[in-house]
Amino acid sequence: MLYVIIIFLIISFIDLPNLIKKDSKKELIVVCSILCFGFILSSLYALGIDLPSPLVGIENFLKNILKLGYKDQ
Amino acid sequence: MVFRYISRKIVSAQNRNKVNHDAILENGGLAISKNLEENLDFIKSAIGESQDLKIHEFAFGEHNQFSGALVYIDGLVNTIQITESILKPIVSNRKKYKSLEELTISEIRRSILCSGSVTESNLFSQILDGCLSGSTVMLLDGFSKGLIINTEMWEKRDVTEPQTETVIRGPREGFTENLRTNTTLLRRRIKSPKLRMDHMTIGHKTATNVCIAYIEGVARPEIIELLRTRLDSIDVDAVLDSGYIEEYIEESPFSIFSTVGYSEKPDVIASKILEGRIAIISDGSPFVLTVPMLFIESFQTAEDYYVRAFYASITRLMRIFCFFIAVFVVPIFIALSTYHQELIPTTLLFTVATAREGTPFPALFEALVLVISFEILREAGLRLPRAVGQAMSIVGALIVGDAAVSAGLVGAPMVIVVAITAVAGFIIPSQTDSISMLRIIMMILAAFLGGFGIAIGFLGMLVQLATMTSFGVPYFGAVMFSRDQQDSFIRMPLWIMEKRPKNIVYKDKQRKEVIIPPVKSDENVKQKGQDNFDE
Amino acid sequence: MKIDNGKISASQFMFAVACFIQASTLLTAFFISVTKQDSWIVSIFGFLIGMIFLWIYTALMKNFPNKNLVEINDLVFGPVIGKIFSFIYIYFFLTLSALNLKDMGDFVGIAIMPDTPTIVILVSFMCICAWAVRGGIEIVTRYSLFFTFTTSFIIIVTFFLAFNDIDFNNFLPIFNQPFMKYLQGTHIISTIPFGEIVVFLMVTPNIEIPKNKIGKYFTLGFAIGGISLILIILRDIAVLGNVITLFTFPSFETLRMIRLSSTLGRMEVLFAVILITLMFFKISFLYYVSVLVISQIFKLNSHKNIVIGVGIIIIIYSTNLYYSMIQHMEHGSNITPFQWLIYEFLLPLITLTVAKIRKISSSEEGN
Repeated sequence: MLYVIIIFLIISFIDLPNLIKKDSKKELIVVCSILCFGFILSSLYALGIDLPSPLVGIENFLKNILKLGYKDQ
Repeated sequence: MVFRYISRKIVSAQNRNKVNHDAILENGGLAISKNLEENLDFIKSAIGESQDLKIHEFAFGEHNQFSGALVYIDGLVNTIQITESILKPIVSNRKKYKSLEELTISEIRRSILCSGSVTESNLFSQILDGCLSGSTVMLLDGFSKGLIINTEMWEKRDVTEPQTETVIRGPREGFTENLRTNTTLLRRRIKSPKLRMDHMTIGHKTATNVCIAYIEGVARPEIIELLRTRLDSIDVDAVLDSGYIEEYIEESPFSIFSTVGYSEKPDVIASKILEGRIAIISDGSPFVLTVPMLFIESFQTAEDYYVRAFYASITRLMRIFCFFIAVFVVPIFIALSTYHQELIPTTLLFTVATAREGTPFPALFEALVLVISFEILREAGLRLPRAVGQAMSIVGALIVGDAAVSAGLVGAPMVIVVAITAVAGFIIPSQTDSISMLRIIMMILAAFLGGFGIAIGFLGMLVQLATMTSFGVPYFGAVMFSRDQQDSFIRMPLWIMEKRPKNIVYKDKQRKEVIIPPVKSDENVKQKGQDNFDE
Repeated sequence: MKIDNGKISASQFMFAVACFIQASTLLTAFFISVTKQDSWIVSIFGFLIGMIFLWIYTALMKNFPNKNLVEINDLVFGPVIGKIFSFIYIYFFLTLSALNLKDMGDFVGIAIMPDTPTIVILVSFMCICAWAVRGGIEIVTRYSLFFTFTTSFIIIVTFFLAFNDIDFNNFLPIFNQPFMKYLQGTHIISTIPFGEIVVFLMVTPNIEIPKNKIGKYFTLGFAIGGISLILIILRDIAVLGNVITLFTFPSFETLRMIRLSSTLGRMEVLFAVILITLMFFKISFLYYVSVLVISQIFKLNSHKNIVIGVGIIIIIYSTNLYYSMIQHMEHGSNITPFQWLIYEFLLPLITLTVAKIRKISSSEEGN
């Protein structure tokens, strides 16, 4: 967990000062939100918590509800 | 708190750039006065009481009523020329002048003086510049202008064979430290009137003369412009060697590979100029820079073009192969012996295993020790005096290496592998520094990630080469099948290469009109000769 | 509006397509386990169906020259629904990148370095890919020609080296299996390796050729890649035969059986190296396309800033996708082709028909 925090601090120090200097609000918001999303995901990974996978979710939806899918043999 | 600290640092860094440079002199725009004594006092206060500053006062005119002074720096000037062509004509001039109004500076310059290359000036900065560059300054009492006469002569090195680039077949002249000699060597090889030599001065205290040479119509104007802006923006005190200029104009200062080429031989520089590159000749340095430089140029030597195509292609391929050996053999050995032992052929596996059993340290440590000690030996061999150097290399190479193996510190296969890479690294002299750095990076990657690490390192090197540009030209463009391939991994015969490299040249793309292979001997001629002989 | 101003030439584009498809040799396990020794028939049919997909994409490219996928969606469907379509494509491209990264991580973890934790492999690989993506499209496709030629050379060389082990009886029995299997196999191969070229719709503005010729280069690249893939499948079936279903990486096993002499026995190192290189190209390209879609939707100035963030998301996503390789195989053979069909066939077809109905094309916009 500590490594995750350190790595994200390093990444933000590389990327963010340039953006702050250029003062483009929209880019700053998008980049920060993507980095936050990544931070949350990697903290969850480091802590060992397993999230459900969206791909598996959609595929189960297709298989069970829409009944699309080849049967296993 | 942290923010304030950071902002303070930024502000102080910005202020540091606005330093007052002391120019060659202050009051650069000061004009000279009509009084000779004032002028001489000013010059003496600017240059100081050096022993080599010579001021020679003389009088001329019919009744010696006019007075003047010659100012020069001893050692930089040709004293014979001063006496013969400057002093004698003025002092022995028998024309009758009644007063100062009849005699003008321009008349002195054009009709009385016998030497060429004379300029008039009324600014102290130009006068002192000229004085310090080896010209003689003539100041006359009552005139507000002075004359700067070019009388340069100083001790210079002869044109000898360059130490760093030796050839078996090819010219053996090398550049010297004198700018005029270097430009002469280039002019002798390129006798086209389109060869331009643009002149500029770089460096506040050294005022180094730098000359840009290119062929107009062949070199790209945008590269010339870019180079000129970069050279103009060099804002330093001293430029002692062309290496200084190289660091200021190169594009990727943190990359391992250099984007500015250099050479010590005039024929190499002349051929690069003819292909559309631009040469930068700097006074005081026998190394001439060429811009733009591509990656493939580090594998090309001058001799490639003077021997025949087949052998030249083979040596060039061998050079590229040795580059890969020099960078990758030690990491591959580390990866194989640490991670992928199953890849080593079985008979070799026994020797490697016994060697690894006997040594206490992991493979990376052994390899680092050997590679670093090799670098130390190489550097020491450069700095030692000639007499001791031979003994040192024998001691270092044979005895220390052998003793280390016997003592059990390193394994014998590792010594052999490092020796192979060391020798292979010398094939490409201009890239030895980048090879050493790449080798150490690859070794560390291989020790941590094995074969995958080497693959990543190789891909990283490819990406680094792809992202680099040299003055707008892509650095590693020779990978695609294009016309530039004729001269990259192999060298096609000269009669095939009819066009100049596409990325660098501007307009004049054709070297020659059409591809004409060498003429075969005519059958009829042989027949005729035969008949004559038989008869 | 162009975010990345790099330009690639026509031949670079063609070889990028070829390289992209050649990198899918890892994915052959999906349909080989279904159709076993008849996989080569299925792959030829899949190739033909892939040509249909190609035709749809080329029609879109010709209709909207100099516009990439997000802009086409915006033009055809209007801003709101177009953005929804583009979000669906973000999910698709991110999933593709994560899947390919996971494939490569599994391959390296199983075949080359079993003791290293997977996350280390993935992170170090993505560092190099991130570096390449920051440089833009030019860097990503710079070496496509070199990679394609090297891969084709290695395929031909290993084909000849494997001559000793080829047994033509391995192709028998032919046409032995129920029809549904053939349908399933064709479906799998046309969507998983061949259909992924929908990503090239995102880089159309950067290609520097007259737009009516783009179909020719696209088709040529597709043909080169497809033929390489069919050759690989032929070689694998000829060497391994019926037991091909046992292996996760059939090409790897084929190369294991080749022996040049008693010392040079391990040719799979060559395969591993070339596969890492090809996967580097494919993953960098998919990574680049994901970054481009995100920056295009939010109209950012440059794609460089979000590269690291998207990279981290892809890495974590790839560890999260399936909880085991068995689930990966099972889903890949059964359900994933249908899902991919939506993104690769249905959505572009809808876009094309709506564009034709509404008579929208980029040349009339005057943009």
